[in-house]
Amino acid sequence: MIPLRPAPARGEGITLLTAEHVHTRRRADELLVVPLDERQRLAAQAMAEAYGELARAFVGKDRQSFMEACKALTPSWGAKDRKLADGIFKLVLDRCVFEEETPLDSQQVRADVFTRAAELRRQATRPEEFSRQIVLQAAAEPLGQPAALLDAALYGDLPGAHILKQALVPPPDRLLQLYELAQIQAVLLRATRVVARVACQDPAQFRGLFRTLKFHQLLFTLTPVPAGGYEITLDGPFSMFDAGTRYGLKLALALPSIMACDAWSLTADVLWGRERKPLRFRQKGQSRPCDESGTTMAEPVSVILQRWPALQCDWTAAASARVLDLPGAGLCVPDLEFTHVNTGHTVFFELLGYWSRAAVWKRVELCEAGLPFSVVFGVSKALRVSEDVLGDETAAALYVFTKTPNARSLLERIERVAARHR
Amino acid sequence: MQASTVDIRFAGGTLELRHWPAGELHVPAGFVFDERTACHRAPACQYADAVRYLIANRVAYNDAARAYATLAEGARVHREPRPYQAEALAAWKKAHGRGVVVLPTGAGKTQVALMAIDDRRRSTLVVAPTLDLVRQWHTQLTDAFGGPIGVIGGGDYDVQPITVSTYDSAYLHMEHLGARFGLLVFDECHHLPGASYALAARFSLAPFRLGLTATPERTDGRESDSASLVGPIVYRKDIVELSGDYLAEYETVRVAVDLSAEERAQYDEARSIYVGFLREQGIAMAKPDGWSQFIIRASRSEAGRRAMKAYQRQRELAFTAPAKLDYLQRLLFQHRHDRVLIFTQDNATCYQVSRTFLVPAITHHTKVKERTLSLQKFAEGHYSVLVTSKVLNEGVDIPAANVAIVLSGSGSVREHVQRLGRVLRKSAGKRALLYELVTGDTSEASTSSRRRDHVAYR
Repeated sequence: MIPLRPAPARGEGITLLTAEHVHTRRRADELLVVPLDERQRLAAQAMAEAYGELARAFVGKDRQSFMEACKALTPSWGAKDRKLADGIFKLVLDRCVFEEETPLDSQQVRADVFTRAAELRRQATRPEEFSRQIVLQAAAEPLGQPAALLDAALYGDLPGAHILKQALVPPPDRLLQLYELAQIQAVLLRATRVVARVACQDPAQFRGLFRTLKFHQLLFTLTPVPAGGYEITLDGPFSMFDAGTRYGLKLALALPSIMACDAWSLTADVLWGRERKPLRFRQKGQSRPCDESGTTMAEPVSVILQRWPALQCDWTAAASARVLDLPGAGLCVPDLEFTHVNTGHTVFFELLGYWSRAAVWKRVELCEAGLPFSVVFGVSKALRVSEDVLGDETAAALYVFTKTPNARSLLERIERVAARHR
Repeated sequence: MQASTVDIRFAGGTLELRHWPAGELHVPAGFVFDERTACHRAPACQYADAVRYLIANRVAYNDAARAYATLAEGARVHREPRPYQAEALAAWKKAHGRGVVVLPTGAGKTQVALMAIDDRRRSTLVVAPTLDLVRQWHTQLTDAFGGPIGVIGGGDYDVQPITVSTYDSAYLHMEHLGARFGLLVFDECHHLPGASYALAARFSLAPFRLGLTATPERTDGRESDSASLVGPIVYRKDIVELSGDYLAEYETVRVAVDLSAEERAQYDEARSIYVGFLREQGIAMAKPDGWSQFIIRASRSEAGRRAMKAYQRQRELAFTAPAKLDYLQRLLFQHRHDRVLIFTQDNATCYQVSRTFLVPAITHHTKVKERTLSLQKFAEGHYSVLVTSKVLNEGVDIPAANVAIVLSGSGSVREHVQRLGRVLRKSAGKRALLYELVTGDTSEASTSSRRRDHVAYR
């Protein structure tokens, strides 16, 4: 038995719809994704339910029958909603797992039948002497099977004959959310450049975003926004030579990480339609509301913050929402920032955790390249890194702790780093 | 003499230049400052020019870009080249190892590439349009250079100093692999000037590039783009120049078949719905955007969808007229001792022929293992017929084939010439035949006339 082939979109948010599935409108040079109105939303729910049910009902049947049944269902939504139906259907189809399943090995059947046919054709002295029935019967006899079964198995391995094994279709509400995400992603597929404005209270969100950008090898420039947060211009290395849509897929895949920020908006330059008309697309939104604490801060960091006032020092402590960027060298996202009450000088603290030695070396390289910020990096002793690897010439220090970082020890490093600044 | 050491490295299909010395000397041509990464950047294909510039200006540099190797050994088999193959290689070398060689199908373009790889001895990526061609190149490179030969595409990702890839995979992976090859060979290089595939050439820093094709001309006129991607045409010979001496003698036969009265009525009705819609919408199919206009407008209304169905029906009647299949049966009997290739326009017809006449089909659905087996059985004579839609149009070497039957096809001259080329590989006493079955008094007749507009059919 051939192992199950995963559906193209087993996870969530992976299906990418394409331009023909998106309901857009142009206003001058703007491209707008038309949101679903109440009627369409209800229709989309009904479609998601109907296609989902059909998929579940067709488990064990072949792909062609399933496709035909869906095709027969589509006109019932009416011409006006055809695009919507096609999009919803694609989301459902991408969550179906098909598998080849034939009683006979089709490839072997073909090899045998075609060889026999070639022999019979060569031996024929008149055209009528060649008969497909004679060939199929001759091939079926040694297998003890009827000729009709061989005939059916001849191309039983083509995609249309594959069997629907699993329908991993989520509930209609969730499918609709995925549809709305996929609509924006479909536009970003045609993007040449994206400018995103993001604000996060939780550094982990920024880290997730920059990890995604790095994973997709996207380049960016980062500019702080006076109101808070950052403006991030996203494109790829080659974009400066050719404003093509080469990085569109990567930009579309980065969207969920942008949308995970507390507040976000984006402006994308897209080449739209067959004529690839340059248009501008804007979208904004907010992620789920924060919980009462405001962030999902790592426990050792929140402990430092709680214990800080007891030190009664000249430094105030606060959660940080900054990104420290050195173009060409890299960036880091600190957890806390400490500000001197008299001088106003700020020292940042990033907890590098307990598992990645490589992350420590990256920060060391970043500081040696000239990161223009005072930073203390918290590193577990388990990572076997000496505090001496960062020399006095940099504006940063390593704080190697045994089990958890200690507020007083951190203060010592902060003052040491600040002294270098003076 | 410059004091500082300039760093040049490969990054995502581009070159990054760091530590450029302050002074009057300009950065190499093609480089511009990139604020995002605080360095100068150029497309990777500028590599050879940039290095020449650095050397000419005696700029000390650290080349962290080049990741390709010099092959330790050359070819282990040296075939005596035909005179025109040796001329082609000489012309390519004279053009500093960049350029396109145009030779008709069956004339041995692969041999020219093998000689070029042996001559340059750099890590080489061969880029071919189909998996069949990738398989074929893999075999020929293994025979010539020994293993292992890498393959990228069709589910494989094995990178070796000599590797074969599909165009699609080259486009997808070149931003990672662009520094690892010093020589690129683009088989059927008329595919290259498309917006996406061109990036496969731009993302690579390979100083040496060889394009191979029988038909460099493109319907969009972008063949001139290949000069910047691969180099200019450095050598060219047409079918008529090599026919007889190096290619098999051939004959082309056009057979017109008729629709039955009932089919004719159905055809006329469908055609009138389709043409009526075109007229009503003012769509001119002769214009470059005619087809896309039809697709767009057909999807917008019920009348449009009816017109699309009618279009498909009249096409189906013309392409798969029962009279064609009857005639095909006669031809298969007549040529039962020959090796026959049948070409169709679409997969549905291909499988219909396969099921009806019990002959093996090769389409893009056919797995590589089965394709290889079918081609091998055809070469050995266990199979005397193969039917295919388009995947065997290009390059695939089927020396045994001597009869081609075009059951249906597009109006493309290139496709038709390539299909003829499948049966032209020369062998002792071989005379090739190309049949073209056309349904008379249908739109297929004018399609047929368009595709025969080539010197090979005059």
